[in-house]
Amino acid sequence: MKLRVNSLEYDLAVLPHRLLVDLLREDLGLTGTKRGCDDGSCGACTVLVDGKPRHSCLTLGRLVEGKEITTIEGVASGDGLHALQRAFVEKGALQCGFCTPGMVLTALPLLERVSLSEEEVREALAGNFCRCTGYTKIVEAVLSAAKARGRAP
Amino acid sequence: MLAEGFDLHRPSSVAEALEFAGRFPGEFRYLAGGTDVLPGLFHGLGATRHLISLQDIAELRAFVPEEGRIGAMVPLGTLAESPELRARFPAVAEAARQAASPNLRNSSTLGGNLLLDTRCTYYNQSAFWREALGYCLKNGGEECRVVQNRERCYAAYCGDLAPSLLVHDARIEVAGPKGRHLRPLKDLYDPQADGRTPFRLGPGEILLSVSLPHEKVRSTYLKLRARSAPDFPEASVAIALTLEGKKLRELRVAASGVATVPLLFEDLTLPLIGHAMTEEVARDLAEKVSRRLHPVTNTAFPPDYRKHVFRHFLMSGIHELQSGTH
Ligand SMILES: Cc1cc2nc3c(=O)[nH]c(=O)nc-3n(C[C@H](O)[C@H](O)[C@H](O)COP(=O)(O)OP(=O)(O)OC[C@H]3O[C@@H](n4cnc5c(N)ncnc54)[C@H](O)[C@@H]3O)c2cc1C
Ligand code: SF4
Ligand code: FES
Ligand code: FES
Repeated sequence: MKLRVNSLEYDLAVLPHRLLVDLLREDLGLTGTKRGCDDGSCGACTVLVDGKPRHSCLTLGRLVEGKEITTIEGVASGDGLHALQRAFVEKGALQCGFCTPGMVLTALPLLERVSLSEEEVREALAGNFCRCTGYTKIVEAVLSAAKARGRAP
Repeated sequence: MLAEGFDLHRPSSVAEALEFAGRFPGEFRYLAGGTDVLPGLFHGLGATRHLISLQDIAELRAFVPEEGRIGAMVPLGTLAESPELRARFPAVAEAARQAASPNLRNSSTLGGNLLLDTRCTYYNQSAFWREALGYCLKNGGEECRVVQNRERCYAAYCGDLAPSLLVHDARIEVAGPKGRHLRPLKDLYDPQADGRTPFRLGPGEILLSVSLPHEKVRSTYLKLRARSAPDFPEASVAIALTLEGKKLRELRVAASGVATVPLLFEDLTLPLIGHAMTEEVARDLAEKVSRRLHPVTNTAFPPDYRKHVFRHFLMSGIHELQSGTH
């Protein structure tokens, strides 16, 4: 089947039990997508499927045929980090970095909103667990990226 | 990584899905968003030979909030974000907003939520964990670990949407080998059900949609959980209440997380219609309802605490709806 990841099309043989997270990490070598809990509780495996954050650990590979997948590897362009990634670095919003790909991909669609409050950021990130930073800096990073776009106070 | 050994089918119509189901009697499961089925399979629970995905059936994705019609495959995120749904059926939108986590709600569907498998701290564990302790009834073993007995499983129904839909008097449309029919949502759940077989749905039957009556009813949903996401309800209450002058025109109360199925307390609320809802009446109702709850020690919080909070939720929910802050 054909799988579209970060605007590239791959031709893959996919068995029914293969999960999207396994296809990304093992077949395509895109190890930026992390697996934490394998059962939907941690958010580390979040990718965008047609623009919406979904858990790749709870998504059968065959069922995303024809959909557009974005992983953390597709967020930066060329050598330059995405403004949201830069904000994470500048605000110190990561320590071990394990949760970061999921955090960034969950936050990315928020930047498209006409306005964004701190409460909305906290609510949107509630299912993504970080065991290091304590969330404050992550929320700050998302808000500062939104602010840079004129979307947050 | 999931274990190998199942086929995946992708029917594009209800008829085709029923045909697949007929071809593999007793050896298939329907797959909606997969957020309950797949974690189960990962831990070796609910294994099957055939998964029949409902994802490609357009009919199941129809969503007409102004008419109160919701297809079984509509994601909970869509329900949580719909202003029309919030205006007409506030408890339903609120229950969706509090279910699972924001990203899970992009996959989780309404149908899967109404048919969410019952949960228990002795069941929703890894294969290694369960084997080490010895399997319980729900896992094919001889004994229940929570309530010492060999007959009944007490696993809790923990879906968020059912109580909110029950208080709005929802009906469901179901398709099966014998055709399609409408029935009240409450008939999907037998209050005496065993935790292993909580739902009244025939073999192969597919839940197509939910429909809500038009009349405007005020409603609310309150949920007890350890964290704001992604935890399941430890106890939750949905209330619908309308006043005519000072008297009750409508009152319905339903609960989740406290029994093997969601509970609706019609026999306790019907006698109150036409009467005033005073502080004493509310307290008396909360007392009577909570006497019907028999939570057991199979979720994160102790049963007494869940009952206590439930009582409090019921009183404060009634208060909130009466004072018109909704
Ligand atoms: C970490 C985590 C936290 C969660 N927290 C919550 C929570 O707080 N509250 C909550 O309510 N849920 C929670 N859930 C459970 C789940 O996300 C939701 O209940 C969801 O709505 C289930 O829908 P689904 O489409 O993913 O179901 P699936 O997993 O696809 O299906 C669930 C069951 O329903 C059957 N089924 C589905 N659709 C149909 C249909 N149309 N006709 C016939 N049978 C059907 C399937 O065969 C299966 O048995 C959580 C899940 C996870 C992983
Ligand atoms: S209630 Fe008892 S039988 Fe049911 S899942 Fe829990 S331990 Fe097993
Ligand atoms: S690995 Fe998917 S949510 Fe944790
Ligand atoms: S930075 Fe370590 S888990 Fe978030």
